[in-house]
Amino acid sequence: MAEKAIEYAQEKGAEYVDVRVEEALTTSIRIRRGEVEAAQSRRIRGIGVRVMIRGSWGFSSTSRVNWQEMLKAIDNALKLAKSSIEVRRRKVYLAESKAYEDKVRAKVKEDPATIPLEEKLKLALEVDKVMREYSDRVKEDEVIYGDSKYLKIFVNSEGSRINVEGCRVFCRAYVVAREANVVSPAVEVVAGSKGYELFKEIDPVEKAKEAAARAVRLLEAEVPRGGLVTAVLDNEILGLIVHEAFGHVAEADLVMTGTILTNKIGQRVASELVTIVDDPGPEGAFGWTPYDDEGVKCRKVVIIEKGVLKGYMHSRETAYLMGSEPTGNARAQDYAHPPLVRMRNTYMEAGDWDPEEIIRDTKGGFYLKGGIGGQADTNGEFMFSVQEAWEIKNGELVKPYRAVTVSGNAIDVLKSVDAVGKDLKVVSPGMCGKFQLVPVDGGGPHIRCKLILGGR
Amino acid sequence: MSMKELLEKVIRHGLKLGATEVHAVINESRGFEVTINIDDISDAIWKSTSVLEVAVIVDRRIGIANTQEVTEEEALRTVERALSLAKGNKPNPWWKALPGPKPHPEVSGTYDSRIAEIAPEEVIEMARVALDEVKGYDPRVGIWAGVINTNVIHVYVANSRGVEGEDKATSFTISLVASAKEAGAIGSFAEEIRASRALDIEVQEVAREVARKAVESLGARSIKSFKGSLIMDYYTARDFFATFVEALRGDNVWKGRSPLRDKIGEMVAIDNLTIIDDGIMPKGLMTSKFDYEGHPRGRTPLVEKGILKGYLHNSYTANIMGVESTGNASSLLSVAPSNIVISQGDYECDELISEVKKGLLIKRFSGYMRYEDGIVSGVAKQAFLIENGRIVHPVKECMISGNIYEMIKKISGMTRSRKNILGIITPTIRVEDVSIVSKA
Repeated sequence: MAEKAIEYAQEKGAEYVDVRVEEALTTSIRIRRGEVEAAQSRRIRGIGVRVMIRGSWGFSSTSRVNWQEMLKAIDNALKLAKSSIEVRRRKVYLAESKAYEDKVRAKVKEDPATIPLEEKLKLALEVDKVMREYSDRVKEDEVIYGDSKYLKIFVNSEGSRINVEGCRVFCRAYVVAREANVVSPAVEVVAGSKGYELFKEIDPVEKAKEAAARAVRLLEAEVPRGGLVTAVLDNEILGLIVHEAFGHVAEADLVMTGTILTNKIGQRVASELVTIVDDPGPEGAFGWTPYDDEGVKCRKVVIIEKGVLKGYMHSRETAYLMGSEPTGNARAQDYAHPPLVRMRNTYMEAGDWDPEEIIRDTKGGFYLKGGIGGQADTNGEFMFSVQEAWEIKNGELVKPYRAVTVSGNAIDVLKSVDAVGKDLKVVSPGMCGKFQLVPVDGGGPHIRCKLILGGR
Repeated sequence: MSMKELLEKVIRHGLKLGATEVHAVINESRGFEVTINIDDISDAIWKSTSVLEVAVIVDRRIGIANTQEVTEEEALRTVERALSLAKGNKPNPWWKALPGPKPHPEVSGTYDSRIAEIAPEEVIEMARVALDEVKGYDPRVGIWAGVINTNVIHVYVANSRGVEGEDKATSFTISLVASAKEAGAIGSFAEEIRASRALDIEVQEVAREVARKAVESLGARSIKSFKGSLIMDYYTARDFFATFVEALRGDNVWKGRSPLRDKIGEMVAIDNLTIIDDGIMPKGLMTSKFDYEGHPRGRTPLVEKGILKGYLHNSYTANIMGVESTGNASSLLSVAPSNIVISQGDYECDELISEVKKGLLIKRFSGYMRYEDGIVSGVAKQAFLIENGRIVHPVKECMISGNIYEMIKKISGMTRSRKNILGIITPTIRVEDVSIVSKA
């Protein structure tokens, strides 16, 4: 049907057509304080068609997969594109991209669609229970479980025929301990582009217990004094900073509206120890993307190489505008959305320090572990909450602190990096929301830098 | 097969497989959307979606499944998926039963055939008008982002206790964010959102208004911190009342998350404030014949002359609290307001300003308002300093902090005119003794 649709749209005058067919079966469960607030199984199925006429886009989607509905969708997309021609101030051109015929299947040992829903609920309820029962100082908890098995077909008028079968699982345990007026939250996420086997490799119940233990333990901790400090960051908090404060400003559509990285290609924007990439892999990472939603074969984008800004993340449209190559970063939430420039798995490459050596080598400073969200602006300014902080004195971890935030400007922080560990890990999975939600991952090794610690 | 017959089949199939109760709903929607990004059309979209959702209850265990493939075969498979989830779920000790059939009210002004029949060219034309109008208003202004959207919805509902219903509605939304330049950089942002059940919003007028608002905020200056009057225009008043009404949701009340629990009959606001949840008002954006459960919508007084009168319920929370459902189910377990109508005052906006010795007029708020503890904390984005009854100048970002439950008792004036901002019909309001903290 997709190929017939392309012929039909071309006969009606479209210069370029792509069709995305998608099917997904997902399970989502939310539990709060022992109560199952939602347990749902969803089936998504539909077609999205994108047409271009004289540099103008039209997009249609429908969940009613039949030929008659398909024709209506294409007709509407064509009319939208045609009537926009005169209104558009800037014509759209697409950078060249090779057409592929390919089938890709993610390596999945245990397909979540074959696991009985009862078993998933049982797991989520156990994760909730271990946190609730950890201590009577645990006052709130929330478990979000999700899995998704999907099939994506991409066909375009340039000859691409791509078929990707993938699978993702996700389990997030959030817990808040409270005593008097001290509030101590903690979170752990187990997620990946893998099957249900991931929950056997990493037990979400154990992770939830760790989160509850940390939340309770930190009730006793003090809040540090703020200021510019030397900090050793773990893989997870670094992943969050690299994605939020640095990755977004290197997305070409945002670069064109003006970010801190606009017009800086070839300039030094970080310490020479720093190399940052956006990678379609590694396999198993939550943001795993072999082909993007424009059928471009995804390649690793080197954003910073040894401190120098090398490139941005592109769609075919932004690549043309900036005279660059498409990188496979055009992603859509589902068949019902047109693609946008998005990250995949963004991380800092490994260096040659032993991570423990970095701490031993630090006279005074803080060791910061994990993040619980925050925000970043297109000028590189960011602020994140850290899960756990330890004061370092003469190479030893001496005292834990709670309620720690880190802030600063991404460029200043990256310029201050003076040690990069060899322990690269991609461990910051999440759903990134930029008008649409897509799964992403991030990480890096342990590093040492300077940033602003917030507390009291 | 008609949708009604399909729902009947789904229910029979669920009961046959051992469900105690079955609820099913079909939502069909279609419409156009044009998005604008940095002064140009970015996407022109047509969307058509159908979803069948089935909830089954097996001895107080609830399972929900949905599908976008609304065919008979797939519908029956969806029942089986829901059943499997229900069987794995633990019993919900508070669950009583799905609602039984009750007559649905007639509603008016919720469907406009012009929206159902609109041509794609007309939607693009609106985007053109918006782009041209803003550009023509002032060379410093542009549309930073925008969405023009039309939607047609058909809903079918049925359950195993005999509820059945069918409803249709249309909506039309224009949302524009304009930015104005000052010394080569963006100096201000402004936002305008209009939504209607009919094709009756003047795109030109919305574009002009958002451009005007962006320009009037240029030349903002920092101010010193002070405590004084805060005038919240329709948009900010909307956020304020929307947060307050969260505390009146039955689910938030019985779970103890709402500070307004056990406060019925008490004064919770100034004595000339009345708040009604009106699910059947003509042309209302949230108006419908029935809620998610198929229970009839109605009119529920929440606050009358400052006194708390009631909460919003679905069947689940109503059963727990021993009252009747108010027709506010957003799912079997959760509750949501419909149209919220705030009483009008007797001021003109100018009069509200003219009585202020020192205060702030705020048109956009970015931050949080929390019903759990009433905390209001955030940044005034489009604000103007008022001194001795006059607007003096636009103000650079400053922080507003206060508490909703105290602020609502310190409202000193409301305007006669009201605006419907995304389902909340509210006047502009003035609140006294608010802390305004300089960021400079």
